[in-house]
Parts: sequence; structure tokens; C-alpha cells
Amino acid sequence: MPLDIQFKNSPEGPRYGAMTVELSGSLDGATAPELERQLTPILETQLTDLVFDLEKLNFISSAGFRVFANARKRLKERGGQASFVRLQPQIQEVFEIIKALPGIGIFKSIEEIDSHLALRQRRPR
Amino acid sequence: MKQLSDCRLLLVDDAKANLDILVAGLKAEHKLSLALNGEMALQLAARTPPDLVLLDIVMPGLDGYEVCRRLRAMPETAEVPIIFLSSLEDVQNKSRGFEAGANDYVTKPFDLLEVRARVRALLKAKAYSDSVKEQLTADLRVARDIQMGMIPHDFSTLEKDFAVELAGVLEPAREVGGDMYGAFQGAAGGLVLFVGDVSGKGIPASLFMVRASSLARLLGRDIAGPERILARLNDELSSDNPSGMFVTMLCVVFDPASGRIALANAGHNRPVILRDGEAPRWAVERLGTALGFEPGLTFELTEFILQPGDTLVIYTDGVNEAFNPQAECYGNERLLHDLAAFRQQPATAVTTGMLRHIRTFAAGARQSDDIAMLVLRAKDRPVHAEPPGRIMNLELQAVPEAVAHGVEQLRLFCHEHQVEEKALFALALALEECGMNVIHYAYEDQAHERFHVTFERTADAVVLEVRDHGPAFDPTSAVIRNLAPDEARPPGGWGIPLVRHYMEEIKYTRAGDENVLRMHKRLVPRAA
Repeated sequence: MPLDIQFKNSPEGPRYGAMTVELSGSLDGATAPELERQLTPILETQLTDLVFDLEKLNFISSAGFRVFANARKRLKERGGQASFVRLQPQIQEVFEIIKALPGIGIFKSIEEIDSHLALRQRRPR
Repeated sequence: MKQLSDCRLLLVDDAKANLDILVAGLKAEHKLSLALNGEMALQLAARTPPDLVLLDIVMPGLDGYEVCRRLRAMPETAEVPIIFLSSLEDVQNKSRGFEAGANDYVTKPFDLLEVRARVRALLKAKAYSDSVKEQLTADLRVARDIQMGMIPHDFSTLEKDFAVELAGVLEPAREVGGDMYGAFQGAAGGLVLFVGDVSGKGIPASLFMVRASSLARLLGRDIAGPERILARLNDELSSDNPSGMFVTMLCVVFDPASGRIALANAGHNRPVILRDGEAPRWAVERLGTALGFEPGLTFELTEFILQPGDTLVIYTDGVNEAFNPQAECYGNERLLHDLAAFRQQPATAVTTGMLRHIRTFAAGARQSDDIAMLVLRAKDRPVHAEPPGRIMNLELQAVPEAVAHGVEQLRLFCHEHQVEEKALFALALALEECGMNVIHYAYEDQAHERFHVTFERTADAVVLEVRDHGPAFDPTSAVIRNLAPDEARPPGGWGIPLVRHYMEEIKYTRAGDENVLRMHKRLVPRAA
């Protein structure tokens, strides 16, 4: 199963300054390198908030998870955060087993992530 | 090779004086039989076939020409060297002698020295051609054994696994031939059957048959769907095919759970369906194109249900195109008519019965073409029984894309065998993690390496087995690192804990130079 990757900027609204990454399909050993390649230039910028929308992600393996971990690490170094929204139950379970991403935000819905981000925008850095 | 002194000459002349001269001149070198007329010569030749015949032409009763023709007609003396000895020295008589089948012609009065020399020359030539033939026959016998060994004969395991009856028969017209059939478990767990017929006969056809048959078995184990198996086989056969040979083939995949037959035809004879209470009928109308002409062809898929008790008869044209001595063809009408008697009969009764019908029809005429038949009969499907064990084998290259392909195959396998989505996810994750570990750690990203994966559906579980020949490594004894946050965790560190979480049982063994990892995923019993 391939992986489809869509990047979305939020020029205004609660998610202002955040980049949303919509993933659909399978994030595994075969598809993870492509996501990593596409994320690299974005992580070079001063962006602080990366939101992974996983509504259509059906499968994830540790190779895919590693891409998330690297992105999170880079963002954290500059006080940013990686957030994950709308995880399918089996993906949520993998996140829970690994328990390896402290400080990440996992959100059930778009409204939830938006209010979280709105709060973060107001908070002084 | 026979010694010249062991060779028996048959001397035929109605003049005893002539015989006496020949006997005196030849008895030191050969064994001799003597006949004073044609009838006696034929009797002697039938009783003790000679190695060479010296034959007078002008005799009372049967003349030499007639004796020569009759000797040629008898199997024991069909190839015996014959020298005419005659005072008829004009060209017409000589050429008539050769037309009757003689090898040489000596005119009387003869010189014994010349007769002896010609006898020796012919005996040597005959001995040489005999030894070449013997060698060829011996080679062909071995070739036949090899070819027959490629054809499945024992269907008992398949019959049990798929709740079917199977029967196959293959009778080459010569020692080796171009007909073939196969039966094995396919990529998606179905029963794959194929019957093929290579253009031509004999050794060239048999070589092409071996190639086509081997490829069909390999592709049929990897590719689901008969139309896709044939398309790939056609691509393979049509590249590197300088001889321009081709093969017609019928490919069938039978799904035992639903009784569904998927069928594709590459220019082959139409198979016949036998159903109780109905006239035998063709299972498919279209013939399609034979394999081997050009790559990129597609093949039509036909699907239908084989009801319990239904029989599918697949065969080659040696069956419907058998000929009798009057050069009449057995034909499709006789085929359908004779098959009607085998509705509700066991599969083996169809093959043996139809062979009998064809032999009776041929009435002794030489079999002109290879004959192959493969018969599938669906038995009653068990309604409440546990699903029977099903196995799928894959050989994967050590690259991530191959692992993804393996996961796709696993997905198909699980859907085929009623494995719920949750268990499928767990199995897919285990395969992905183990596969990536094999690539990165066992083979250190050497893309040309290969590893093996097996899925087995048992009554209450799916067993996943991964085999590689990298350095010995037992993941079950590896220390599980703390799953707590760990920035420095090396890549892959999450894989093994994930597999452990999702699989109920993991067993590692080192078998020879292979790492064998066997994992069980138990299935939740489905509500009735």
C-alpha cells in the first residue's frame, strides 16, 4: 500500500504558523524514506508546529514512527511541537505501545487540535 | 556391437549349386541359414531373424522382389540389409531391386571376394546405425523419465486439502512430448490447475514443454488469477523464443470455500463441464491466443461455480483429434457424447474411461499426438468443519518494496481465509518489522539477498514464519530495551517489542545456516 503525503499551510486562523501534513495509506519501511525526504526542507525552516493528520493512515511500522520521532526532536530543539490528530484505533495502539514520544500532542478531532494550537499561539515563548 | 562372426546370413537361391559356392565362401566368417525358395526364406527369417540376407531374384513361387518386400514388412527384418544376387544385370532390374527395398546388388557370376567385402561393409554400417539408435533410445528413455517426473501423479494431499477429486493422465505419442499438466496450491491459497500443449512433437516440443511447465508452476505460486498467470507466462515465453514455438494452455484456479472456478484460456481446447442431469457443455467459448508469439497480451477471465459433484475435464487435442485407420477424427461431438456417461463418476473413472474410448475408436491406428487429460471433481463442501490449513510461501528480495509486497500478499491471504482486520494488522506489522530487520541487520542492506516468508492459516491461528540466512540472531533472547522515552534509541529498536506485543507466541530456531522465526497470531473465534 503506498503513502500519500499532502502539506497544508495555515496562513490564518487558529492554526496560523503551523504546517499540517495529511498522510494516507501505509507508513512503513518502503514509504518512510519519501516522507523523511519531503519533511527535511520543512524542518530546516523556523516552523514550530507540525500537525500530522492521520485520519487516512491505515498502517504504521517502527520505520514510519522513526520519521515522527526525528521530526519531533528537531521541533523540540527550537521549542516547537509535533502534534497528531485523528488517529485510527490500530495506529493509536501502536503509539501507546511505543510510548516513546514524550511531549507530543495526540488529539481526537480538528477542533481539539485547533483550540490547543490557539492556546499555544497566545502563550509567550 | 555384435562381432561380424556372430552375424547370421540368410542365403536364398533355388539353385543348390549356387548355395554351395556361397556356403563354402562364407561359412568361415559367419553363421549361415539356407533357403531354396522364397516361402522357406520368410519362415526362416521369422523364426531366426538374420543380420543380412543374400537373395536370388528369379525363383519359382515367390520371386526375390516379393520376398524382399515381405521382409521389409515384417518388424523383425524391416531394417535387415538385403543384397540381391542375380544374373539379371540390366539397369531396370537393378533399380527394381532397390525399389523393393534392397541395400545392394551383385550380378552373377559373382566373385566371392567381392561378395565377402560387400557383406562385411553392410554389416558394419548396420552395426553402427544400431548402436546410434540404441544410444538415442537410452537417452530418450531417461528424458522420458525426467519429463514424467515433472508431472504430478499423487494428488492425495491436494485432494484432502481442497475437498476435490483429481485425476491426470499423460501419454506422449513418442518417447517424449509437448503436452503437460500441473496442479498445486497457488498464491492466494486456491488450487491452480493447468494443461498445456506445445506446438510440434518429440524432442523440440519436450524441451519447450519443460520450460513452459516449470515457469507455469513458479508463476502460479506467486501470482493470483489465471489471466494474470497466463499474461506473465506469455511475456516470459515470448522473449527469448528464437525457435518460434508456442504453447496453448488452459489455466484454472479453484477456490474450495466458494467452489468458484476462475479460468483463462490461451488458445487451448475448451474444457468440458459435467453436471448430473445436464448435457456435457463447454466451460468457456472463447479460445484466446496461444503463448509465445508476442509479449504484452492479455487474457480473458471467466468465472463460474463448480457445484459439489460437478466435474471439469481439461484435455489436449490428442483426445478430440485421435484418428482411426480410416483417417476419421474422434471429434468434439463424440467427446461430448462419451463424456456424458461419466457424470457422477469419480475423476479417475473419467481419465481411464476416456482413454479406453479413444483407444477403441483408434482401433490400433498409431497414436498421432500426445494425449493429456486433467480432471477436477468438486466434492461436497463441509458446512460446519473448521477451515482447513492453508499455506502460502513467498521468496522476497531484501528491499523494503519487497516487504511491502509481502504485506500485500498477506492482506490477500488473510481476506481469503477469513482473518479479522485486527489480527491482519498485527500480522502485517510483525511481517513488516521482521522483514525490515532482515534487510538492515541480517543482510546489512545487500539488496541482492533473499529471504522466505510463509503464512499458514490453521484452525484457530495464523502462523507467520520468516527465514533468512544472515548471521545467527535470536530476537526472542535479545534484551528488550526499556520502552520509556529514549532519544538515543537506535533505529529498529522498536520493532522487536512491537512484534512481541502483537504475537502470542514467538519461536526462534537456527536451522542449518538459516534463522527461522515462527510467530503465532491467535484468531478470535467467530460468532456462529
